[in-house]
Amino acid sequence: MSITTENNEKMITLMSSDGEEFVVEEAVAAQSQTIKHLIEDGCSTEGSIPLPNVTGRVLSEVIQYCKKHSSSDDKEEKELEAWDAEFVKAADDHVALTDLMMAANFLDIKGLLDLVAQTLANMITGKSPEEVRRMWNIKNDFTPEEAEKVRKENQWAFE
Amino acid sequence: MDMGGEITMSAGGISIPLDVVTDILCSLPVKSVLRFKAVSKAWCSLIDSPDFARFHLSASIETNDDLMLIILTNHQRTGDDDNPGGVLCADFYSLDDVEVDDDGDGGASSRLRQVRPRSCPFKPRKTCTYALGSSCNGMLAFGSYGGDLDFWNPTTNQCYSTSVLDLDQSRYPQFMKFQLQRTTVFYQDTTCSSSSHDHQYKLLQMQRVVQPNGGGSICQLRSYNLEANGFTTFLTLSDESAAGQNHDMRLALHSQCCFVNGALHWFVSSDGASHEWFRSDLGIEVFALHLGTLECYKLPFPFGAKYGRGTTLMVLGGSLCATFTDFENDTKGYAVDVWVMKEYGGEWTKLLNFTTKLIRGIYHTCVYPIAYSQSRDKVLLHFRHPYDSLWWYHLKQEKLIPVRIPGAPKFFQPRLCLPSFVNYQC
Repeated sequence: MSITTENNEKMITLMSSDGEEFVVEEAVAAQSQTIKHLIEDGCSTEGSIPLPNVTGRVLSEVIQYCKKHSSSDDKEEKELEAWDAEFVKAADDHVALTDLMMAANFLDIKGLLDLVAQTLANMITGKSPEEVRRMWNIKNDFTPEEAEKVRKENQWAFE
Repeated sequence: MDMGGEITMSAGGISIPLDVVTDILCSLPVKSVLRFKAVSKAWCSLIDSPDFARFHLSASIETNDDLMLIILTNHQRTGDDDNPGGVLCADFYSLDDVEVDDDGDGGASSRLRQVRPRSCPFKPRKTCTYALGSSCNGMLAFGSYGGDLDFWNPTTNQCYSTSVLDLDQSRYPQFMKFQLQRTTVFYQDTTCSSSSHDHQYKLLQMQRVVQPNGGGSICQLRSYNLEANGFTTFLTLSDESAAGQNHDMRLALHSQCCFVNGALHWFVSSDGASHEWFRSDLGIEVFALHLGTLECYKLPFPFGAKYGRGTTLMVLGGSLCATFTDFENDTKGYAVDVWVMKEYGGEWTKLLNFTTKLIRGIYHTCVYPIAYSQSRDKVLLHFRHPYDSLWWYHLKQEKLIPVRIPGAPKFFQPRLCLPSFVNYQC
């Protein structure tokens, strides 16, 4: 089902994994290469596009980003940078940022992916391997001997 | 190991897939990435993979915000066999803060922090060396006339060492010293195409061999070929043909040539015929040889600059850079001018000038520009005499500021290197 607004903008409906529906302009949604390809392949005409990997909470953030970035032109680059900074700040913690990053990865939105990757990188750059493991529940599968070897080979990185 | 799989997740919290991890790690400086090899086996093998090395390198080239300054002990000059490969690695951008000096002369100095000594993994070369630590995208190249080649990544300390049979050497061993002129360039052309084969590092040599018994001389352009472990010649010119269209190769052998924009560049005299390459009354141009197409073209010479023995052509901040040290006009010091061609093919502009007379203890020196500071308000210069030293030239204040490097020997070669995980063979 596609709706047309008074501006003659084609609208499409996105459905999150938890069943929430979002009606957005096609130009906004098409910033996602994944959605763009789905539209091109004719997957949107039969109703809403299901996005089984993205929850409604995350999808609304992604749409916010896409709206901002489709309405701005190059002149507003500085303003857009400031908006991006605020946007990732609002995401608050590494859990929300990781959700956002996985959504950007699945939806293939390069600008958002780079933005969130840089934010997470800044967050972890000074951290220890233990702290990083705790952030993402990563199991330390090194034996003590192997761990010691990795550490020794890269001693300066631990100083 | 399954690189595409998800990391085992404990109950609760959030896990992160490895392809997303790659994006995050590509935005990190090498020091953090190396430390995160200790996170898990999956992270470790991800970081060790050649694909990751390439992703990380191209991200680093783009941002250029993590640079390493390498101080190579100049073994050849000190002749110190017991101290063959002392190397200091330091974070280049930590040099940027200028401190007020405490030695009371009112000057300022920059001090390099986080200097790490490293031992070279390859053995010192007793024969003459060329391309002493030529730096390109994370890799340094070393060569010796004896045929030894080393490609070293100072970040990972991985080294690829090989010995090539140098045909010219075996044919004319007794003439080696005087009958062979050679200039070497180490480069990686990332502009030409997207196929990874073309992105290989290339050690290219331009050489002129004077054949014994009046056999004349030939000019060759050849590059090291990893598969064949030897040099492949792709352009050979006799003296006669070289004196025609490509006469200019001979001139390249007297001065440094440099690689930028897919092409080699060196100075030539515009009349073409003369060997008097240091005569300043000749018209001088910049000759370019595109290494992809082998097409030749010329670029202008900085207008009003005086060409001489002390003129060098290098790359500074991605642009062609010509340095003029006026040896002819010695009044207890030389005038040094540095010009840059900011936009390739465009106008030259004078970046800085000073006289060495003004610097205490340094009158006669060659000057080599190395890099801009992060904010581009300063240029790092390398002085060769009386000892090797580094200086900031402050562009606005037009002032020279000495740079102190704890542990640096009297004689050294400074090299800038992008920290990277690349391996020469991949």
